[in-house]
Amino acid sequence: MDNPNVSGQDDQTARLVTLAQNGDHTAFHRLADRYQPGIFRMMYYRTRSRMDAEDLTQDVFLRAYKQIGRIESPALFRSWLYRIAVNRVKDFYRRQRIKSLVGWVSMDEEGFRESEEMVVAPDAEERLDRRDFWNRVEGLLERLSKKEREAFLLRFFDQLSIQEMTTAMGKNESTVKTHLYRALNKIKAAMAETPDKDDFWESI
Amino acid sequence: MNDRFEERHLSEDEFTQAIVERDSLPDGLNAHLVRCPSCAERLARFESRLAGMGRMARSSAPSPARPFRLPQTDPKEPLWQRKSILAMGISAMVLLAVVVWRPAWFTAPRSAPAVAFDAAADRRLMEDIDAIVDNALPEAYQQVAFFDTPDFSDSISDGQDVFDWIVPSIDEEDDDFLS
Repeated sequence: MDNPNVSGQDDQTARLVTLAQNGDHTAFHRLADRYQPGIFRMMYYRTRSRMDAEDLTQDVFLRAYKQIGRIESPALFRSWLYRIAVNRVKDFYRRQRIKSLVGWVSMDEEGFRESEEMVVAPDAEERLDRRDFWNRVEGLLERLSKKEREAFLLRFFDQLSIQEMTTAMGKNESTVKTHLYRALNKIKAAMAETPDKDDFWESI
Repeated sequence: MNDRFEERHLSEDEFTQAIVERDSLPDGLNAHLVRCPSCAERLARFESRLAGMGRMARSSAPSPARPFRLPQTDPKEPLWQRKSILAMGISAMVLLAVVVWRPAWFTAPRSAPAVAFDAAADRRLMEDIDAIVDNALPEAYQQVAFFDTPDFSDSISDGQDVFDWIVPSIDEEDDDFLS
């Protein structure tokens, strides 16, 4: 499940991180080029909004740039970046909750998501497939606690290793495995409960 | 112990454990997974579903609209610049406080003659105020207003010009009209 490219890129990443720590903007831009798509997708999985994902991704890299001097082990850059991203998502939802409490935004953004999906997948059939997929994913994720959901998404959607997850979640290995274990048991049970059972998940 | 594991199929929990981390399974179960096509197939199927879910999510997600680039200007101002702005701000606040509140410690001590002079000026001012309180009319109007004074006739003659100005005589009005 681990991304095979990650270990191959570790040395180069570490070299770029060291350069960026010494104020090399070009090196930081190369790091951003390498990790931006992954961080952007991570944000999109969690917000299901392209605009929010764009803003949050920009923010993650700005923060990373400001704090890059703090990384003691440049090889851990990727997991450190995901840690910033995980924290930004938490902040985002905290603010959304506050805004929804005072009535500034609605937490039900289905209409907005649909309009964004028009841009992502202009073809109607494809759009329906994607919507169906995300509805099913959301149905599964709803059964998980926050920690379990984060562990599941980091492992199977963002493809982080257990080791990387410990940095990204700020938990020790045993705790991360426990969250993942519980998440998988619930996902397995939920998949078995769905009317078409395995058909959908087999077909993807 | 390992033989016991090798003899039976994996439980649901053991499948989950294998997905979380295959190496954490006892050696006997790992050996069973290698030998048992049924368990290996079950495990591969669940792993493939999870991998498919991740694949589908990646293909359903859009790409970032633009690459990340740092802002042209460094958001961090030089330290000396930040310090000077802070110093100017503090100075402005202190100046404002002195101008608005004039704290006692800021006022310079004054000499005894100056204090006495101010006291005399204050007294004169209070006398003037008392006089106005007793009689608010200016001196020129006072005799016009005091009809009950004993020397009314004299006062009216002294103030005739004023009286004529307030109530002009009919003759004068007629003269003006004729001319």
